[in-house]
Amino acid sequence: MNKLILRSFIKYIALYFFILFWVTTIAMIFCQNKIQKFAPNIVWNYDQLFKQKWNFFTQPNTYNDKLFFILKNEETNNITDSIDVIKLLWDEKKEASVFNTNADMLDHIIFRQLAKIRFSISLNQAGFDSIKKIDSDTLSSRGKILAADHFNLIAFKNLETFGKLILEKNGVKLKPTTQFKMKLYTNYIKEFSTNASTNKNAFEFETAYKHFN
Amino acid sequence: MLNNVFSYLHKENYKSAYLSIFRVVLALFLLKEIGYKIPFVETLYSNQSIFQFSEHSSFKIWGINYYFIKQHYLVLISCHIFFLMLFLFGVGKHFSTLMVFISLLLLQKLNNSTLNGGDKMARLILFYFIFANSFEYFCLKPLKNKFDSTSNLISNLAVFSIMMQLCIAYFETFLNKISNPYWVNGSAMYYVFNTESHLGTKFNQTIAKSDFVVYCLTYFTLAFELLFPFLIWVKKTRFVFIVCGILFHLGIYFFMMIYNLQILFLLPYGLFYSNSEIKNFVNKKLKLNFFNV
Repeated sequence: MNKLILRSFIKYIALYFFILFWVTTIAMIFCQNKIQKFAPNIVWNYDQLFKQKWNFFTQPNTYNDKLFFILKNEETNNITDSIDVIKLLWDEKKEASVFNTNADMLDHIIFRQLAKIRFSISLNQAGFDSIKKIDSDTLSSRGKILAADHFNLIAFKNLETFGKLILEKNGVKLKPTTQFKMKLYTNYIKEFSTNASTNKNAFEFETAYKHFN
Repeated sequence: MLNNVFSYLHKENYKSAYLSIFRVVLALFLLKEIGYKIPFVETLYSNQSIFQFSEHSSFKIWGINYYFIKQHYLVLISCHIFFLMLFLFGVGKHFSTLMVFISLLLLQKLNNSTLNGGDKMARLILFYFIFANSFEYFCLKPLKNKFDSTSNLISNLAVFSIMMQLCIAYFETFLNKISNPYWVNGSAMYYVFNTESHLGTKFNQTIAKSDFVVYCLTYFTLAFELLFPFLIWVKKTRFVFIVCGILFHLGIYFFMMIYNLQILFLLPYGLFYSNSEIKNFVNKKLKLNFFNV
């Protein structure tokens, strides 16, 4: 008899938690902003285990990033190379497709670093020294210059590590005298259904020269 | 009313056959995922990583020492693989499933820089699997001929949750997409096909050159994500949506090089079929004779 009561109790509890879970989940999906205002703790705790944000390509990329590592010889002051490291990574990802876990993971990591830098730029926290005028044929004529002593954002350090990794993987010899600077461009995809023949670039930021760590 | 619901849910484990297949495939898939990551684990999880990753706030709240876990990341990965093996063979049943869920959760929190929708789906499916009875077939010690009404009820609710989860994922994506002008004006797939990080084939940019194809693919995506959550439950339209879903995810798999997500979205499709349909398909169509009909 007791076993029957216990089983019946478990059934009601199971159904109760099932309904509670789904009511909460649907509320979190459709009215998270409202809940966030009066019960931020509930949202935070729910998100730790059950975070639901489904937005695959909701905001399609209208641009491709181009991250150039410009290398120069410190002694001669000559630029020795200018390499788009993200392009090299994407080429590797394509070549190894299906078995490209490593390239894909690096792609995710770098995407996050660039997002963090963009966010820092928007908050003006990235330690940019000045605004620089650049070529008039680019979409945006303003870019930001980063001073070497502000090279302390983790995202920049990770970009440096990434760049070094990719350059060495592609046979670029980095000597103790080699200095580098990073230059990020946003390469806009030409608009849909237009006859524009060339893509437009927007210069986003440029760092000062420094040695690899 | 409530009694009717209860008596229906008690009656049997309606998806026991597919749940067992699902468990085995999910375990193999998660083993493959961690296997592929092995050359990269130091970079992702170790204190000695060449990259610097910030601590996830969950660790502080849960009172877990983030740096201790990072220091012993190999132990965590070994435990994850060990529990996945148990899960694969149905040893430890719900307990091993819970442990797989916990180890996966910790690994995801340890480094969330490389996670995508597929990882999120894997976590949620594993959570529901803790409650699902997927141990009637393909186990070292199967739970055959053991009628347990409470277990049936909980398992059926867990299965329903996985199916709901899939539908909600599609529907929420649809709702987010229709608030974006590129999806509304039909050009979104043009930009998707021109995104260099997802150029899965050399044909992507060629496809994007045809306005007609771009419009068709964009609106097909929207229609699929809107209608699937409703019409997959209708027997007459179910097969059409299963085929559309398979094509949709295979398209993303090959053209956009997003792999794990597609498999985790396709796996729950089998739950929309009954035990007898699955058994007939496996035994008669595939001639594998895994199940006693």
